[in-house]
Amino acid sequence: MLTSFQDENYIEFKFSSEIKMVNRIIKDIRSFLQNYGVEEDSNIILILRELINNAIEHGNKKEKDLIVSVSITHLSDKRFKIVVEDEGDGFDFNSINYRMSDDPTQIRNRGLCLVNSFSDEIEFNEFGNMITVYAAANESTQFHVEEKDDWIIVRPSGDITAEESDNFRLVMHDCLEQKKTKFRFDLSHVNEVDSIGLSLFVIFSNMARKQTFDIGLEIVNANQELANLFQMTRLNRIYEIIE
Amino acid sequence: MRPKHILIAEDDLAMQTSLSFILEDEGYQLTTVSDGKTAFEKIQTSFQSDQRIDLLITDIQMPKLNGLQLIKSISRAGIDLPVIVITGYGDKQTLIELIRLGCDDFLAKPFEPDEVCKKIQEVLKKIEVSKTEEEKRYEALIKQNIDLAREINSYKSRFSSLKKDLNNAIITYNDLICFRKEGYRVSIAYRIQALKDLGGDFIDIRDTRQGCDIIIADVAGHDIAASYHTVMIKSFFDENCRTQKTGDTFFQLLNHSLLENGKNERMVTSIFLRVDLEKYQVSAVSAAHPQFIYYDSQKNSLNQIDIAGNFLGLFSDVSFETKNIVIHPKDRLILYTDGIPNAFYVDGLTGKKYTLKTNGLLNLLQANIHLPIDDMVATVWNEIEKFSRFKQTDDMLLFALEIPKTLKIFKGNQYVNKLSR
Repeated sequence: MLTSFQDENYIEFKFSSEIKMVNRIIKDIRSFLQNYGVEEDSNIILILRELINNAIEHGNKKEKDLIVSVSITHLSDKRFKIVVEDEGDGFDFNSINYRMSDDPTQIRNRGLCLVNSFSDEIEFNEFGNMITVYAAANESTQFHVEEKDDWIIVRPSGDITAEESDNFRLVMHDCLEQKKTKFRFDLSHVNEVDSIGLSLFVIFSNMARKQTFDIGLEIVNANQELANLFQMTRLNRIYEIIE
Repeated sequence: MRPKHILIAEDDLAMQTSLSFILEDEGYQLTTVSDGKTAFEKIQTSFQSDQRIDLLITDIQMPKLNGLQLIKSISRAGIDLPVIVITGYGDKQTLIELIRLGCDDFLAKPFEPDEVCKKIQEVLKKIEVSKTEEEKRYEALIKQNIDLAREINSYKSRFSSLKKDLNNAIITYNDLICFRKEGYRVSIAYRIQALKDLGGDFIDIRDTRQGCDIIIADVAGHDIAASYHTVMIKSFFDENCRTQKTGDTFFQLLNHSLLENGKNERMVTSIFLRVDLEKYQVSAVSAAHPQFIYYDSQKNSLNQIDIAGNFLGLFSDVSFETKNIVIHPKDRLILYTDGIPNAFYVDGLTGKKYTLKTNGLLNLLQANIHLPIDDMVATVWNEIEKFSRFKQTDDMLLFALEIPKTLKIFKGNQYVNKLSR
């Protein structure tokens, strides 16, 4: 049994506790997510799979007659509220330990640990048979590159941290390939640059200087915290920081 | 080569006889039946033996099982048999159905003997060619499969040997950077959580004649290369504890060496502390590491100690300020890496990010400073984990030391108690 209901920014499913339902529902949810421009949905899908499996196996104890309800509400941008409810007796959610176990063979509780680490917030109802999870789709930083006059302008769409470092490295490499001498990094959308990100800026300047002495390196639209960071790391000696 | 075996399914005896005459003359081996059911039985039996039927010529209109049903039964049984259908009338629907069923050719009644022989030869030849091609394809596929299997096996063994190497590297790394948890001239407590198995935050402490030397360092990155840098820092620290060079000199040497030995710039932040239990003094240098916190037990106040200094491993000309602090028994020093002030949670509904910041850490310390040092570190650590909702995004290290009430000093060749002032 499977029924679904869709409204603006909302989709809901009610279905019998059978594992074979999971893939069908996931498929529908994927296309719902795509309405909001979500391309990278792996964390949300992982959360859903864990929660639905839990509801079928532990909540409804695989009793086919018992119903699982799943709903997703679009909140903002790529942020969603996921609610999964079963007809079981619930459980003592206060006893959950969300610390990821160092022991890879320990599987008990692993599901909810994963859900926790892939989401922002978890709530339970009083009985513990309904869970609400808030999560946003993973968005990795894009690096927009354009040429303007003599300058190559790099505009990251988000933070420059260890996660983005490989991507950023490639972009920088491509910039150097173009044999230009003036590079401007527009950090208007950047809130955070971590130590790996900083080292990449230093590496880039060293490589650019190897190509030519007459070089222009600028950082524009950096927020105050970043400007302080660049000063502390003396990045302002190799990049001109333009307020 | 044995003659090709043809099965004729035809209920019209005249037609059956004339076909037999033509085909016997051509040297084919023949079996004739007059209904579809018998035909299907013959085909099944022949495919279970070595005397396989090579071709079926069948009428459409037949008793028991008609031509269409016969062809369907054959394909349902998974038998691969070429079929020529004798059609007596221009039934378009039947023709379409036949083509859909994969029938190989048609004989429209009436037909000439030559036409029959030609069609049969064509179909048999077509089958022969496609069989050879299929065999070739199959052989190629098998070969590809074997190559692939070999490749996978080699990847597998390479992967498991790599994994073994990596595990050994991790064990060796952890052996190299581990230090005992107690028995120093000051009491210590710490918690460390690494995001990955390699690289990350580093802390070490060593007793000296006057007290102890302590280093905390954060190497950018979580790869094997980061671990090499950490091990290098560790060995420089060990060496410095022996030679007792000042913090400034130590960091200058370390910076030089990081630049010399690392082709890839790798940023390191660090604090070096020298605790002198004879002079009641701590001297500290910092390489752009987050400020450490000094707890003055007499004033019951927590103070952030700001020390100017450059990052290690990026520039050749660096300078480090040395800061000296007067200490008293029961004072505490709290060191941490940036993973602690950067701990955060995101509000589910709004997506707003809340960061602990140094102030958050100070508040937690203030609330728990009355606890014994072990409990203080444990409680503050738990609170930080709770704050970040047990989601770890960076390495975290929190370290605290307490100046003992009774100071042991080195006299002659042994430590003796010295009464505190």
